[in-house]
Amino acid sequence: MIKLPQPAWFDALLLKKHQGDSIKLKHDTIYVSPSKSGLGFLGIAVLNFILGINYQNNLILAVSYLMFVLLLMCLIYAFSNFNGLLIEVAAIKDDFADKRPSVTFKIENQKQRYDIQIEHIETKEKSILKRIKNNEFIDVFLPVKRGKHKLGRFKILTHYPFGLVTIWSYLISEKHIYAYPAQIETELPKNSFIISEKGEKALDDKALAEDFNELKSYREGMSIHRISWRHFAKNKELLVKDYQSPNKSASYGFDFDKVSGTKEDKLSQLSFLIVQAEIEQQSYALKLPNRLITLSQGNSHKKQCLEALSEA
Amino acid sequence: MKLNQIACSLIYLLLAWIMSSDLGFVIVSYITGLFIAYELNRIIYKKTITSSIINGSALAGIALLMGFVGVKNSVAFFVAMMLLASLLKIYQAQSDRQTMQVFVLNFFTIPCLFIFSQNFFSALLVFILIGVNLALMLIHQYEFSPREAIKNAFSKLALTIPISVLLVLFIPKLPAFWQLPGPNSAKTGLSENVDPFEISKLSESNELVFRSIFPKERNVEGPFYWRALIHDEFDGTRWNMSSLQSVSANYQASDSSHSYTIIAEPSHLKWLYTLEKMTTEQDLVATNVFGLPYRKRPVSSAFEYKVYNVVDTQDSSITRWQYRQNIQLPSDLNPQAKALAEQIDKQSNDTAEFIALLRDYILAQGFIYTLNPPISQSNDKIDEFFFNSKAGFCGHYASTVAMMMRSVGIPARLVSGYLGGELNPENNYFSIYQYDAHAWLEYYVPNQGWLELDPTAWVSPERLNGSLSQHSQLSEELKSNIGMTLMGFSDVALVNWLRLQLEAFDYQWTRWVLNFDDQKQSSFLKSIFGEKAKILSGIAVIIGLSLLFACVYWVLQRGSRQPIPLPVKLLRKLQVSAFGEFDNTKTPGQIILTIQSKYPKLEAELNNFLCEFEKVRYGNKNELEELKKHYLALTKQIKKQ
Repeated sequence: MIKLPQPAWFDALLLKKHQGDSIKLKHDTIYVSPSKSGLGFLGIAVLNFILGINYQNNLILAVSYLMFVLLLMCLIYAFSNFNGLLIEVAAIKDDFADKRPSVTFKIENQKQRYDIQIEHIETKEKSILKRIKNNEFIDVFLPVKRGKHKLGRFKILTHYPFGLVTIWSYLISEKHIYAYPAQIETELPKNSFIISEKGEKALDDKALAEDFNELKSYREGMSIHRISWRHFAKNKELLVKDYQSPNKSASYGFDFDKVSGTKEDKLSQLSFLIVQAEIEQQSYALKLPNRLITLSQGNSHKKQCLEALSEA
Repeated sequence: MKLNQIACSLIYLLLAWIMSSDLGFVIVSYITGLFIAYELNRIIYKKTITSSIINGSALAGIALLMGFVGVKNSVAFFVAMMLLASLLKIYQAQSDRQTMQVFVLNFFTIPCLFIFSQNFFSALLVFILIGVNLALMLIHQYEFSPREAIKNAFSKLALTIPISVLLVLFIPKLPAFWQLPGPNSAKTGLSENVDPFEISKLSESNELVFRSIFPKERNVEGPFYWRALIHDEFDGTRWNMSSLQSVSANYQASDSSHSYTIIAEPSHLKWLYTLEKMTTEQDLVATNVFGLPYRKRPVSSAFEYKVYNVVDTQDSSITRWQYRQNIQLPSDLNPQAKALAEQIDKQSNDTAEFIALLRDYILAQGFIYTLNPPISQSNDKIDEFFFNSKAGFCGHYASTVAMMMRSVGIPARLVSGYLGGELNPENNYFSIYQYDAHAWLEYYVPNQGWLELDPTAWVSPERLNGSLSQHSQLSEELKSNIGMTLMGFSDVALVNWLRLQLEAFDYQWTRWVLNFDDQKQSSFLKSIFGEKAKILSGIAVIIGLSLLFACVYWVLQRGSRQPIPLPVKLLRKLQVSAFGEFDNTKTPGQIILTIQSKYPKLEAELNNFLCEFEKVRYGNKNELEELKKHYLALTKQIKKQ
């Protein structure tokens, strides 16, 4: 589409109408225009009109009128296909920047509709439902960089029927989505302070590396550095050295300054370490230049840490 | 992809074969061949077509087009190129967008059929193909099943067709503002330079040439000599068109009402038809010095004009050069005929007597009229015919007599046109077909001017009445010439009935659909809107369209609103009658509770109502009688209090 310059008042109007976490599509929130194909179609209708007039050929003229009427009909059909839908931000799925941070929309609907598309305007990422009959959920993947992002503008559109018209609306959400730093595999840094539950310094990392107590089968997400290659060579079984044991429960402290590399690299490594610690069900604390998250474990703790990394 | 390719290709092939006589057989076969080759490639090698093959096919196609159609025949060239390009494009299209482009372009390609053919069946076909194209668009974009898509597309199209017909009727027509090249295709028809011994080729064609519509009340009688062309230059075998054929002249209509109307079918020639000297108010038609109508540009679509008879202001004298022109003759051909003419000339005192003697001679010699005379290879074709075979058709007789008259100094010229026509008694019109083509002559007599003479009538007087198809002796010959068409089987009563019905339908179609020009439109609009017809009709179109779209919208929206079930309605009414307003935020139980608190006496009755309500709404009960009874009892009691 041709991008028209939008005056400020128009932007304000748009915000006023479309801001929020849900939008009901109705006459004053739906916009219509011919699509690119529709413009071509219109051009051909005009061409047929010229031919019809100049050959004095009523049948070609009739085809030309038919095309104009069809285009108008398409607007009505498309509008009716769109009208009355309720679109709502149902869930925001934070994820690592290289995975799939996504937004789930709930579409409330009672009748047969076709070709409902939701596009994230900033990233041009689009999801399409070819046909829906009842309420429906749709995920829109947001390929954003690491960080905390406002969801911003979504365009909800349809080209049904025939793809000759575009009917659209906006949803402008103020909510945020986190794209965590992509994980970069790393060894546990030297001098990470490792404290036993009772707070005393129990093990250094060297001891930890040597002194595992059992072998667990490999699960996705575990570090391949901990795979026991000896066992793999013997019985083709991927086993991981497990360091966790009831009496040797350790806690990690991850420090931004103790990992190497650029800022992004550091964040990525920390991201990896946090995930690993969570898999191993260890408690961990995170120290960032401007923030300290105290020792804890569990999903919400992990989320808090990862969000802190995203925002750093 | 595969479905799109096959379906679109079949559309193009169908169009190409219908237009094959106009586009040229070679290019149509080439397109068909491409399609078959590509599909075989798909089936046998299971590979898609590479773009180098597509490009090669395109180049070869353009070369064939140049060679067999030619840029000069611009319309056929363009249409054939469109078909070829669309076929190649749909096989080349990789992305959805490219495929969509082809679908959109099809809205131009499909109606191209109307340039060449405008009959009812073409119209039907074009609208069906447009529907199929729309269905393909649905399948392509939204993964519809073919059945669903066809249903969906045609239901939408069905609504738009009547509207577009109304638009054609009511939107004031613009005059043609550009001259576009018309299709010029080789059609059988009269030729400007005629070898009269070959006119019978036309008798192999049962194509409609024109229709003439007489006013209902008028009883007209033949014979009808429809004049079209005057040939006044004879080179021994050919009669060439007069150089005056396209020199216009002014005639005054003798009567304020027209005597008949002619609807000419596309002939791709300029020349039109009339019985006598005429004039017309149609802007596109001029009248030449012979009183014959002609157009500046060839007739490329069905075309209507009214014929007004004229006061014949023709001077009964002719100029010296006209005289010379009309007696010129190659000196060394047909000596026998010349000798005979001189002999007869010596026996006669004037032209009338010369003609009478010649007629007697022809009748005495037992000449016969046939559509399939023996073919002569001689240079002296007229001698050959006149003294040996003695069998021929109109061209033979007219040419011979004209030549003999010229040889004795009587100015004579050949006229070609049509004779007769098939009457449709219901609508009082005649249909004139190619096989009605005829040639006769005109000769000049001082002080009387040019007179008509049809020597064929001496031999076959029956030919003067009706169409050739109704000629008792010749109809068999004609049918075997025409071959496997409805006309060929006109002996079978049912077939003939069917043929006449189709013919009558085609007449109405041509008259009201194809010839709905701005004159007809403005008189039609005036009959509805009175004086300010054009403006009012424009307004009517806008209002009509808005109303219609509002209706369509309303119908579409109606389905999306769910009706409120009766029990809920009753509950709401109950609430309204108790509190005067309706509160949407409460559950049925809460509503009943609040009513109970206001009317404690009705507690039992209200509980019954709620119980019945829940049974109907959430249980399996379908009976509403009980609920209604409770409702009525309740409202009564509420009102009482």
